[in-house]
Amino acid sequence: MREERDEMLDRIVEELKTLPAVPPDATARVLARVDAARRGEGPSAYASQDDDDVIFFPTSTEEMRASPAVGQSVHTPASKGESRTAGRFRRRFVVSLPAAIGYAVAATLAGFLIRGALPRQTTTDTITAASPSGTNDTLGARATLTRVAVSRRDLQEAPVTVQFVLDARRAKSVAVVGDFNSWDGSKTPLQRDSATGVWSALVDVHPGRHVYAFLVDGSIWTLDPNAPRTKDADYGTDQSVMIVGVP
Amino acid sequence: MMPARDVREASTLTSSPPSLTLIGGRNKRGMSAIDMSIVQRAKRGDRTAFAALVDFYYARCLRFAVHMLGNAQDAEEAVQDTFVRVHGALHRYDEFDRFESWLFRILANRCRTMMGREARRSRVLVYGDLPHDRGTPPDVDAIVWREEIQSALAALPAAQREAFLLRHVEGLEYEEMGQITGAGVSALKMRVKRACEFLRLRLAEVERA
Repeated sequence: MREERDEMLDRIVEELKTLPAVPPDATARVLARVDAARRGEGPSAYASQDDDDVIFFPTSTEEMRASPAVGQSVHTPASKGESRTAGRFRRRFVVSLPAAIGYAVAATLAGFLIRGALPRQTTTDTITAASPSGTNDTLGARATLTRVAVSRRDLQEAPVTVQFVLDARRAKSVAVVGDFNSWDGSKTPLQRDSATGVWSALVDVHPGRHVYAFLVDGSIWTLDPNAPRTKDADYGTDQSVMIVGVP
Repeated sequence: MMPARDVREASTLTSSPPSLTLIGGRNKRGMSAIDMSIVQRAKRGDRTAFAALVDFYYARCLRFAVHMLGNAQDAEEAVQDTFVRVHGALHRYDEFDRFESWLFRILANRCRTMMGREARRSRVLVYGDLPHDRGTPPDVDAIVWREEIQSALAALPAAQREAFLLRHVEGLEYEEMGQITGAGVSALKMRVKRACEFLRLRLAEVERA
């Protein structure tokens, strides 16, 4: 494909090439944040993705086979020393969309079966992740665990109560954002359990496929480590996927 | 307004001894590139060399982030995050890859993450005081032209905007862009072509008006 350049395009590019003003303390602030990250302070405790990997890089079949089963514990790192292990885990966890939908549907149906065998309750945990055995949690956000619980009120139309749970112990606030609440970070805050430090919220969601993420401390985009991921069609952002009710 | 640092010029860091003088080169498309010995020193844990890297690339990274995010504050946050992450991941940097491609891969990821977050909160674009004032008196036509370009750029789909900026503003080769975005060369060429067509059409309309 031949690249055509003309006077108009040259003018546009020339304008866009203008370098912005750099704050005089920019480098110093980077170095201060690097030092803080080394000490294990700051929001980097939550930001654990492998940044030198392109987001949503396809996962091989071999990696998919190595992915943990639903319900297996998930450990998100808090310290620099743990980051490599966590990175490997995350890559294993990413599955292709068809397989992910298959897992989600199977888990949801399993939830309905369990729910049907139990006495009526508001919610029932069906897709769970066990809490990791206690290690010294110096950063407070070491384990990012999520349990999604589904209860059926009506298989076809009525909203289904979904419980979102995130273990982010030193977070100041957690909210869930998704297509069911217009991605509004103020609509669905999670409540913190003072005994466990786990954040949770019950949300009524219509049956179907939904995408969502957690917003930690108002700005840190955090995915559900137990849910399959997909790519936002417009912005290319990672988001978690869940299937509620009967598709 | 703050004076801009032109990263294409040699710069000297005096914050921590010994001072480090950068000698940058230029790639095939005439863009500045850093001396690889600085990268190697930073990789070995040399703080002064890492500071030099930040100093050298900050303005270019900020330019890309501003154009991608359309918001000076978010762009600044994305660039700061990027360099912190670069520092944490330098030990994984493979010197057979071009450092600039690796850096922009991390930056593009940060921008994508922030775009998803911010776009859902608000679609209002705020450009702040960017690009910088080079000391010339205000030129209304130039300001209007600049705003129209920014507006047209913001109207592009994110993937096309990213490809256009990497190709024409950052001067990267398509193979490098493929490493950064994960897309194929032909797809990237198509994105750039469509972005060019859109910008031409949109800004020609502005000129006619």
